[in-house]
Amino acid sequence: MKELEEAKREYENIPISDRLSETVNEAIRKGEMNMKGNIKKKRNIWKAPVGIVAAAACVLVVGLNTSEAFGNTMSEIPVIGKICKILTIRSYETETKDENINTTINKPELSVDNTQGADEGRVMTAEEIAARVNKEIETKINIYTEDATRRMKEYKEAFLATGGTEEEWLAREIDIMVDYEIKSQTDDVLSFAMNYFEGWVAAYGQTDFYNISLIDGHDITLEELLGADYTSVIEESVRAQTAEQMKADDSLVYWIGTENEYLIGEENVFENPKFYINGEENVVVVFDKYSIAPGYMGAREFVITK
Amino acid sequence: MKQKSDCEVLSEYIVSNQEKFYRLAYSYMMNEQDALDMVSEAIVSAYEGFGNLRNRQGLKTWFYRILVNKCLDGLRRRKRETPETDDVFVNVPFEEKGYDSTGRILYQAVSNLPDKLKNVMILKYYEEFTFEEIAGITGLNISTVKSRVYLGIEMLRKNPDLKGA
Repeated sequence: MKELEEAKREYENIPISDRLSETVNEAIRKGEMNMKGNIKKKRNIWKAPVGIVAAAACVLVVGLNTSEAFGNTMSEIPVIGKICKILTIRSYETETKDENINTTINKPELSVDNTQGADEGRVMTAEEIAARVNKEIETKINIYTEDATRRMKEYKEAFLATGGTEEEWLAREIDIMVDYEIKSQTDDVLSFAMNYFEGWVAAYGQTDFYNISLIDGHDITLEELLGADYTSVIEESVRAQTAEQMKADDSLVYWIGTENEYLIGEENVFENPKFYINGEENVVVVFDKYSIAPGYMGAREFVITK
Repeated sequence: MKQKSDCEVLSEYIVSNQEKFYRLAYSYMMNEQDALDMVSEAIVSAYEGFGNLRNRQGLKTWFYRILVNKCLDGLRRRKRETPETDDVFVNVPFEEKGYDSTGRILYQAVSNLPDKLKNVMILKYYEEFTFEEIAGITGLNISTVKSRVYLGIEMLRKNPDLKGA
């Protein structure tokens, strides 16, 4: 229908509002401000749980080392006796002064303290498990901080080139942060989250989860936890929960189960969701921001009870 | 050559395409204030989500996706707020009837198509996106996009105002 070209000319003649450029500039400013706002909010959210976790882990370690009663009770549980002190918390800060980029890394390092008892029946020794996990985390942190530092340097260059001053730059509190959070820890499973975050674009934040079998060191899968049809188990549960939540609270919006479902896209979000194991030993699936709901809803978590 | 920062890439893209965004938003909202609001909301959301956009090549499709969704949300909101008026202002600049060009009549007719069809027709014929890009913007699969475009054309052909066009 070639007449549509004439219609297109009509379309192109839609008069442009004389407030457009003002509106656009205002929105860009707002967008950039929100970015900064998110950074502050996010930082506060992170600090608290990590502090609590760190304290809790210390208690456990101290308990094992000093209280015989506590230690004995623990050693009655199989396996944990072999890898009882799994966590030491090591934090270090590097500061690149000339670029004024603060990199704070708070990383978990598994170490095996109680070397009594053999590793009978294990596919991997406790030491091997610890080494594998530590190496994986180390590699990931290195890749991330290198990338983040590069992005930060580029950003600074651009900031200065477009009229920003050194002083303003210093006032921006730019940071790269890596943190972790223990989700649960039992005799045979360790579940924790690694959070990666860089200050100037909140959206660069990412979270990875580790669910490690302390028996043979393998990464625990959803299939093991929820059965072969785990995809449909998760889908059913998440659909039910989102529907319930939306019913109970008008301000909650999910794309799932609504006419906006198409926003999720082609991929099956239930097939390989991120997950961790909580203190009640339930699977908790985590959907990243934007994946099943509008951005302001943030990442969403659902407990899947079998 | 110096590499551009992410923020710069986004703001440059927005600033240089703002008129296109406005036209698209206007074609949905049919009034100035709402069109400005949708463009503004889309920009703010774009900043929020930009870090998650891994593939910078997809910037255009991605931004249109946000904008189109804002407009659809805006239309839904409007329907909720004013449920009694079903077809709200179709306020296309209009000349006297006798002087209407084919283009203008056709433009009107496209504007009056059901939202689902109008959506893909605008992206296809005014914004000249490919079927694949439209699928990316709307989240529909390609065959659905195609069938909606063909249905749109079919409906225009049957429009009595366009007899002979």
